[in-house]
Amino acid sequence: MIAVLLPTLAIAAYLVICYLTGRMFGALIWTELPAPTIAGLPVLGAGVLAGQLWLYGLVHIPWNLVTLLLPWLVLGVATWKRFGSAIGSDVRRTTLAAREDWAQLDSLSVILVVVGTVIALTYVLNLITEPLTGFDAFANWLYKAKVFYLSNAVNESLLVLPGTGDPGGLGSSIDTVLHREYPPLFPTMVATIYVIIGRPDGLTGKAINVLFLASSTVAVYTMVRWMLGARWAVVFGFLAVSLPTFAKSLYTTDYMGYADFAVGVCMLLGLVNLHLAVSGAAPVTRVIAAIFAVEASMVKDEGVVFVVAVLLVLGVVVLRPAWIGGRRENQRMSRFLPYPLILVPFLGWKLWVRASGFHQQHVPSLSDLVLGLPNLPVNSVRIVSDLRPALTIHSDFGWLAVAIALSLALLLVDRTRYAMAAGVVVFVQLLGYWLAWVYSPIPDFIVVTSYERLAIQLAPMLLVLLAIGLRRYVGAGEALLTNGEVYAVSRATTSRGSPTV
Amino acid sequence: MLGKAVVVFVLAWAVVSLGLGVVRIDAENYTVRVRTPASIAQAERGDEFAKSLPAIDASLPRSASVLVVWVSSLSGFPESSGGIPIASDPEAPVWWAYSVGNYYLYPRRVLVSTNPADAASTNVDVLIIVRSPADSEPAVVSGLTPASVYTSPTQVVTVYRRTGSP
Repeated sequence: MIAVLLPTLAIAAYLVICYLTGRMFGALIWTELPAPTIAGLPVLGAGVLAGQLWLYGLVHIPWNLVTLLLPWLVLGVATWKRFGSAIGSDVRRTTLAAREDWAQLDSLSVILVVVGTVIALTYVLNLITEPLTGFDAFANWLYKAKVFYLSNAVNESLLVLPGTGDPGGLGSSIDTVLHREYPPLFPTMVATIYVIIGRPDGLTGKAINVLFLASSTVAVYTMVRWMLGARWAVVFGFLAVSLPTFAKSLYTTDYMGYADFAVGVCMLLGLVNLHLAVSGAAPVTRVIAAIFAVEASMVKDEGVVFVVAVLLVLGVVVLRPAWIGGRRENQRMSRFLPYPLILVPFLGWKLWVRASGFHQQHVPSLSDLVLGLPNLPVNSVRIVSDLRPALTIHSDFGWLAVAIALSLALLLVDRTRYAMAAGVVVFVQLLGYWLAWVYSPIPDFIVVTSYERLAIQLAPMLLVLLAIGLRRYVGAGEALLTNGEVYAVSRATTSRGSPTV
Repeated sequence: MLGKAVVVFVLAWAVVSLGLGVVRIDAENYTVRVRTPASIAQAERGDEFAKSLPAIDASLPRSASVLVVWVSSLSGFPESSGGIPIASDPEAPVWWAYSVGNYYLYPRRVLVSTNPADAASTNVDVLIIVRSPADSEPAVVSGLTPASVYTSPTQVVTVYRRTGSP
């Protein structure tokens, strides 16, 4: 019992520390934040703490609990009035919302809440008690976390390589397993847990997905609550926990899925904040959307397409008024300049990977894309044929495919900027997956070995996209904090279906 | 019409997920899970090589150089990926031994060979031979002496250490 309790406490401590760090980071800019933004603060905090360790490695500051938390402790004391007020506000609003929502729930909602909670707790128990058996964990994610922790540095050159004298003959092909070119944020987050518990314990480290599960569930719940009301929030929140797709990451701990749920949740949080920003929430949500997008790109390469899509939408949101307003609005152009700066860590990493000579996954050049055009129809048919066995009602993939089709249909009907912004981001991401498949030199193998992982990445965003589409049909007035004031999304809609703010 | 279709779809999805969730909860043995620490569960899964590594890690100096000679035809991989059996890859034993060996024994440098002759010519501090019970132990270079043996019905893991090393 104690052996289960200790890792549970360690993960709970990590979650609380990440929330407090994220809250302090957020409170530096804005005290009052929308509820879905607050839901993502633990993931934001986890990224900030990992970034802090990365920086420590560069300037040779040792990694330990004191060096990790002391700066935040000092900052917390120095800004206690602002920080304490932010936490107090979060607690008050959460308590109030929970009481209000509980009073509104019908029998089905109560069943979903109870079963959803038990499923979530089952995941937590599994993540803590399951042994480490996934090859990806040994060869990649948790190996890197251990190396970073023991070396006090985020440096993939420190991984043990077979070298030219390797009798096993692994030699240069080692990068196909070690993936030194992969972004290092996820293993550095795991290494943060090691810093907190004081040893590189992979059995506890693999439970990091508890953090992402908590943030994604609360983010989906609060987002849908704002758009559709408490009862729909329960339905979507339940789906965010219970989809069998997520069990690959949260229930079994075998070959794959160690970082796919994490990148999926980072993208979800980016999408949620982007939608809030487009819907008129506090401008800080734009910044936070961009931060989550770049966090996604630093967890896995699939996040690169996402960060580009988010910057594209933010560019339109910020620059469109300047475009329309002409010279008078030209100063708005400069407001977009800070957003691309958020890409600096990602670009810095890519430059370092290139300078270090690590093997990189093949990225098709423009000429490859053009020359490959004639093969696209054949490859597309092959991919559909590869996917067809998985598209049944008995698995999540059939449901996810219908969800994609319905989301697209909802977007075509509801062409408001609120819906379009989210739709563009999700469908650009989906297009990215499709292009990666059709341009792959071995599409059959890639499709069969990746579709489950990509479903984990995409499913959280699809849930929110469906809810955004339903907003036109299932209105429910909920309050959203913006610029320190409260405004409401009412049932009344304009002629094009956009909510009246 | 579309709105109604989406409402019905989302509710149906939730109800199906509810059913699958209840089945999953029903199949779970919570008492065993709560009473079984991950370290114990770890010792019950995987091949003998992976199971023996935490104990080997605890017994070796951090600076030791290690060679794993994988004689066994078993790959060590506990599962397949996407329906593709990894164990059918002829390089699978090497990947498994290299990855799991370095994960547990870092910061020691772990090299891997599938050639039994390498056991007779190596100059490492620690030699780990992984073989099937039916296979004979390959000849080992002089200066290395057996330190520990881990046995399962499918694997024998023998650890040799250089005489006089700490």
